[in-house]
Amino acid sequence: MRTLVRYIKSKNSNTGAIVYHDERFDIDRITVGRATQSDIGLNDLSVSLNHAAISMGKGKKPVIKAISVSGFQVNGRLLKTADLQPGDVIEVGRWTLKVEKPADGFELILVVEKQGKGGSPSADLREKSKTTIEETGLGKRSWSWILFVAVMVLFLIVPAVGVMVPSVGKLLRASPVPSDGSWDSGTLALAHHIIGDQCEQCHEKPFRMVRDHACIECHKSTMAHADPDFYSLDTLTRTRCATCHKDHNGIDGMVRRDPGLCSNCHEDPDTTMPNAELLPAEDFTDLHPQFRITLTSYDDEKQEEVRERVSMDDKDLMVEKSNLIFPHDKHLKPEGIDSPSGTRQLSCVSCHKPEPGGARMEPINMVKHCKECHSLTFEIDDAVREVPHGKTREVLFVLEEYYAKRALEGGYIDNSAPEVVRKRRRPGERLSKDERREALEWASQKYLEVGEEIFRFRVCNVCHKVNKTEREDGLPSWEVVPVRLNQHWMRKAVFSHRSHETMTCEDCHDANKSDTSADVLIPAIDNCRQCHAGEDAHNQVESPCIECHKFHIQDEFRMGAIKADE
Amino acid sequence: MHQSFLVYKGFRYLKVALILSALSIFAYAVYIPTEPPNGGTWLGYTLGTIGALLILWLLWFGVRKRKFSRGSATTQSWLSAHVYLGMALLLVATLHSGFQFAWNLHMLAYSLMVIVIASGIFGIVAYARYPSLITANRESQTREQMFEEIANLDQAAVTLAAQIGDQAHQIILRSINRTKIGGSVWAQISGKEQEKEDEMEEEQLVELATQMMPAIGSPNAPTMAMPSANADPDSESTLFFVAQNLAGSHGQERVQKLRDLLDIVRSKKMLVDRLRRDIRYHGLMQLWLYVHVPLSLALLAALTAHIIAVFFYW
Repeated sequence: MRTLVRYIKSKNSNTGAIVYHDERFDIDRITVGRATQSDIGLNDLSVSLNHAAISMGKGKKPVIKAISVSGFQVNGRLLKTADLQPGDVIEVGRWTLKVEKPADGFELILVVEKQGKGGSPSADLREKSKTTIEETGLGKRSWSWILFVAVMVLFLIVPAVGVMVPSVGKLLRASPVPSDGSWDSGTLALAHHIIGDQCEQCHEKPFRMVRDHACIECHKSTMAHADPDFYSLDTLTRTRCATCHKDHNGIDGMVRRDPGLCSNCHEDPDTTMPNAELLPAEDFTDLHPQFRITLTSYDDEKQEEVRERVSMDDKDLMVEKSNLIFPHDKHLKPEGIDSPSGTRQLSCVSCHKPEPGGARMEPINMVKHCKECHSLTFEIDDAVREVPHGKTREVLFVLEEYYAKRALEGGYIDNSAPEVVRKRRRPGERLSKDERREALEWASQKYLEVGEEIFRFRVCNVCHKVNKTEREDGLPSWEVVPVRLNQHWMRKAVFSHRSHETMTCEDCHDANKSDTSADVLIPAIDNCRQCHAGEDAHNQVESPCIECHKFHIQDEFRMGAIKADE
Repeated sequence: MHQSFLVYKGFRYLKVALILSALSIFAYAVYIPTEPPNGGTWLGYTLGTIGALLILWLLWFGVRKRKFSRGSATTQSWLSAHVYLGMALLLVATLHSGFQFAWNLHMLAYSLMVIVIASGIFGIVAYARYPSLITANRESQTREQMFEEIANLDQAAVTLAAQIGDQAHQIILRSINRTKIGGSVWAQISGKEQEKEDEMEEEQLVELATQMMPAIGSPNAPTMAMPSANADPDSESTLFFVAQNLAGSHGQERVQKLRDLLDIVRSKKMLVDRLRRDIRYHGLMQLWLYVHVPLSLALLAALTAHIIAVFFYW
């Protein structure tokens, strides 16, 4: 390997003049070390006696291999062996060996120079050590700018472009890149999940509050609160839907439950609504009128239902006019009642079953609930035949036909009946014309007697009011006064039996002690207050107005129909 | 006399911050919004405005501290206010959120704010803790002096090693070559890489002692209970075990030199450890700012986006 080694003796930093001397070798292996016999002698304690050797490698490239365990650095990397390329700088201790481009027939040219740094082999440790964070290149300023711009672009500009250009917005919403969905401030109300990420459905124009027509587009049938002409209040006519209904507050966060919703106007209605004749209400515990139940009666002349709201404090008026005779106490006797199948103990649920929705009770049905005990038989020696329930005319038809048949059949045991009726007939025996007339005459009297008996004294009258009337042909008839049970006691409030199903019926309804169906068994406000309280509930159920009352109740007017500002 | 920014003017800004916090808590407790508590109620808007103004003002500290002479207030008073009002901001912003957290831009702004405040608190702790540790660790040497002493020790070690023998010299050279101070941010702060290096250094030294045995030429050397480099984890005691054994054999002068060399290497190791601790302490004192400053700029961007976004979809 023809090698030229050029030792730099000195350099003039001003003129650039270099003093050097060259050595030439043509040997296979060039040794590098502190030892005097080394081919390239590096006279310094930072170099081992026999430090390294350079020879020609397989790829016709010179290779340097360390002999000393301390190794050497090539281009700043600590190595034990390295292929040498022109331009490489080998550092051995304080010496540098620079590899030059082969020229003039030399396969390897090395420029050897002693670095004049410091006074020890590790003098450059200080220089090569990064001892502060600045030196690692981590900058505050550059990072600040990068982060500032990144956040601005990703979370403001990109989503905004998505809003302005719908096709981009569509793309963004389908990608993990932030869209205007990243601006979503919270979960939508459950029903609004159908809108999903279509922000523009409600937020029609940027920087403008949501307008009502965006709401009413879907909520067409939402009722107003009150007649806007009668209650010409700005709060009713000018308030935006979103003033009360603010979305993005969780799945059930859209309904106002604060007492102010109602009390702002209803606390002192004489001032806020002088003509309204409303009672003041502010808090279920502190200020709430006694319940006013709606009692219905029937105006016979006008033939219509008459409703009246009556305060439950007015005890004299607490009378239900149902026309039904039903003492709860007799039926609920703890020792039970006699029934055809023996003694039976009835409870409320024997007759009152909740509707599937759970709010109210299914209607009482005579056949289903009463008939087992209250049979409609009319003939003492016939336990099977019954009159139909609910149709007075048909009752008389049934009786008339029944007794005609009995009279013609004969064998009817009754001393006051004529012979022809009492007499048993032989099979195939026929009655004469006179006999038939006599028998039917008896029957036409008998059925009216029995009719009077069951209507007025034995069957119908047990539960019903019965009036005696006269038919067009002059014969007597009877009329059962229709039963009109009160259906809707509290028309201004919402009550559900289902949400009270852990209670017993007796907790609220004093049926055990009621001996007449005229008793109103709806509990008054004190009963509810045992568990429910207003805003400052302590160990009670906190019950804001909206717990029992609705806001949108005026069924003649729709929300949005009478807006002054749109 | 020096007065910490924490106690500046009898905790003036601590009091301001506490009053602001107390007022915020009081308002939050008293105000009953018509909807679940959130940033869009009247109190939410109020607290949000206060919070946003606080953030702008706190960011202005970065500008203000570069202008020592301007304005009537001292930089120390600014720092005191910056620290206490910054901590009050955490409460104001949390109440502003109404504790509604979700995976969105608003949460991003909040999270950035929390990280910035947390890094600031770390900064306070660092400024309270590390200066005294640095002073104690340095033993009244400067960093330059420590480097110089390391260089001197290396020089002494390499000279001594050359006198002992070529192998010893090679090992010492390798040890010097491999000594690393500082490095990447993680290396500066954690010292993990350095631990690895230290272990290597120990191994090299045991190796050195092991290799000294044939050099002494003791007739009983091969039979001596010579622990290998890996056999005894407590390498230092291994070294002295070796040194003790060597002392009994002939070649007293070289043995003495080896002992001296070992002393030098130990001194260097202690010095290197001290220097690394110094770098670690300084690094910790600086590093929080590399979180605090860039993230506060990111917070400014997120805050801007937050405010625009909420009114964009009003």
